Amino acid sequence: MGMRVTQMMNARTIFNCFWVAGLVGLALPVHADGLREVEQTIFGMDCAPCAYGIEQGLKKLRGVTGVRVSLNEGQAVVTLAADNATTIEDIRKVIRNNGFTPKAARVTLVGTLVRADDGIWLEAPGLPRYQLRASNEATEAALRARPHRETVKVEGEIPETVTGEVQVMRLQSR
Amino acid sequence: MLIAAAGIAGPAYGEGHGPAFGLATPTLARGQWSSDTAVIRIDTQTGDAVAFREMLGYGITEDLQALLTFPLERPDEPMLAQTRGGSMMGAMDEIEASLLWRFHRNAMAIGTRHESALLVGVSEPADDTRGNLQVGNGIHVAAVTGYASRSVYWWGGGGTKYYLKEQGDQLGTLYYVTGVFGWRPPFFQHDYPKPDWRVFLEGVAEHTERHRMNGQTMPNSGGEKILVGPSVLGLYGRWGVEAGALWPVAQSLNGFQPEERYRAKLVFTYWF
Repeated sequence: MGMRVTQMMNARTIFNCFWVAGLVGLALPVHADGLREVEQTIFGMDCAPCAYGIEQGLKKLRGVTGVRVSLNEGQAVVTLAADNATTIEDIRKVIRNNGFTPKAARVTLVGTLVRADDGIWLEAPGLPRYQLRASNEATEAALRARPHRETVKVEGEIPETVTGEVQVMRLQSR
Repeated sequence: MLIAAAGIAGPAYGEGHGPAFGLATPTLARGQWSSDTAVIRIDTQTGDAVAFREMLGYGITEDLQALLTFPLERPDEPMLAQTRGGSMMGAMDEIEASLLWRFHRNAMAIGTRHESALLVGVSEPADDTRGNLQVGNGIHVAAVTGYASRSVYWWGGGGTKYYLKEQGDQLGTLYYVTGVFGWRPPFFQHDYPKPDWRVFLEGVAEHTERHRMNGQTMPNSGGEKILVGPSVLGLYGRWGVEAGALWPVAQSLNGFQPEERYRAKLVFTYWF
């Protein structure tokens, strides 16, 4: 009898441990940081093997889950898994190595908004910081309203020559 | 013998992305390999010759490419003395190693770029003799500039191939210019990954100096040719196929030499 009670206690203890662990897991912030989608404009790409080379190169980058290259639109659309460490510079390097010229890119980024004396930044583990700059009055107001260290999703444009800056077009809380 | 002395070269560069016969600028991506396998046929008044050639390419950087081209099966006639026969594939019966350097590149818009390249190569004959001539090593230099877009292409270039003396014999130096106009009609402008087709109008003008045998100029060698013709290039993923033909519109050959009737080429390309 005593042995049976002990067995039941053990089972309950294990069950409780899972239950508590589940609650703790829900309470912790869920990260999906990093570059999540990139529409990279490409100049000079004119042929199918050019597109093929870029497609294959981009697929080799860490965290890339999908690549679509369009010759007619002159762009590569790259989708990335959460918490990847791929940067816009990694993507542009693939394009340069194929002999073409990367221009501005439309991006979707997830990270932590950080207010500092030198501006508003987006940080994500394993990635360089991106300085957030408003592209219009609405995004200026949205940037000002967001609290320090809030996890946000940013849609914007990274210029051709400045890889550490995002012209914010849309900002959402996560 | 007359055929062997013909020695009119048929230069041209640009397998893979470019035209079949004319010089062109496209290079491989950094670290990329390519293979071009070609069959080239040259038909003259006194017979024809068919050669199978292979060209391996490697992108050292996105603007510098190494090329090695060699015969898979030697031409069945010795007539093709200096005939390059097509593209970067060198002369028909020679092994040639080259560097293609794209020294200028300007991407102006989506799908559009203007670029220029320099090609320098050295060759060694696959056989010591060609006809009755001893064949020496060769040096090839060419330059090309061009424009590519999704609908229109053009390239213009020229080069020269110089042969070293070998036991008193020397093949005549070749000078050539090439011009290419390419067009992709709207019904070929499908987006990737659908097959990509384009058509070219190509022109090649060649001047070859007379050969020398035992230090003496051979009268039945050298001359000028201008050839024009179409080619078509199809690309799908890592595969490419190209076919083209040139017909002479003018020939002025020294002494007694058979005139060329046409030059045809078929190329299969694979990018690794």
